[in-house]
Amino acid sequence: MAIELKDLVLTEPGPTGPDPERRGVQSRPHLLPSAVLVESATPTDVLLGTLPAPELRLRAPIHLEVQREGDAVTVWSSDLNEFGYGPHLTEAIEDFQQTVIELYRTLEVQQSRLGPSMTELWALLQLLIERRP
Amino acid sequence: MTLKAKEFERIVRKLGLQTRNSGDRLAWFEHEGRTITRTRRSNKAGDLPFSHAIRQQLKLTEDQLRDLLDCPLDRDGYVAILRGKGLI
Repeated sequence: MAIELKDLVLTEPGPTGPDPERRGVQSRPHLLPSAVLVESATPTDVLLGTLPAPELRLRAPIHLEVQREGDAVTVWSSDLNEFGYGPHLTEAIEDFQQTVIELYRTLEVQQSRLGPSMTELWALLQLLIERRP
Repeated sequence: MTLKAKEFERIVRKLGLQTRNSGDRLAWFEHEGRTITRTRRSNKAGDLPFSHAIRQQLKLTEDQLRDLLDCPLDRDGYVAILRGKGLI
């Protein structure tokens, strides 16, 4: 995450801070980070644009929320109520892709015998994914 | 609450979920020949990441999931929950 203006504060060098004369700098306010920033480079959101299945094509990107949970990274689609996970973001996305492909193929086969919730999910998958001719 | 793989398997047994091993372990609940809910877990042992997603996919609240793991909730109770939500 980039350091933003709100993360910065104007500070005066304190009594234990740098000695302006010894360091050859003027005594004036400095822009210093308010805290040591140890931030993850993992984004909070990603848009998934492809599926690694030759017969399937995404009609529109799928929005994924990214979270770190212990040693794992998870991605979550609130639209599909589905997730993927792995030790890194790439693996989590690949896991999600495989899950969606598996889900599409399974529901396609079972479409005549789905309950209301699964029927709704299948309809959504058909909106998001098309079979290539 | 975080689920462990063996707790997932307890849920599978209690609810009589159908299962299939793909890259992950897939599980789904069938009632009167229809697939009503589905979920999955990693084939690895130990804590399952994103356990709350498994709970949501099974259409259970935190309390209901706890009841399922601690015994009061059985398959008939689960059917009643799903019926109450209009999913059966």
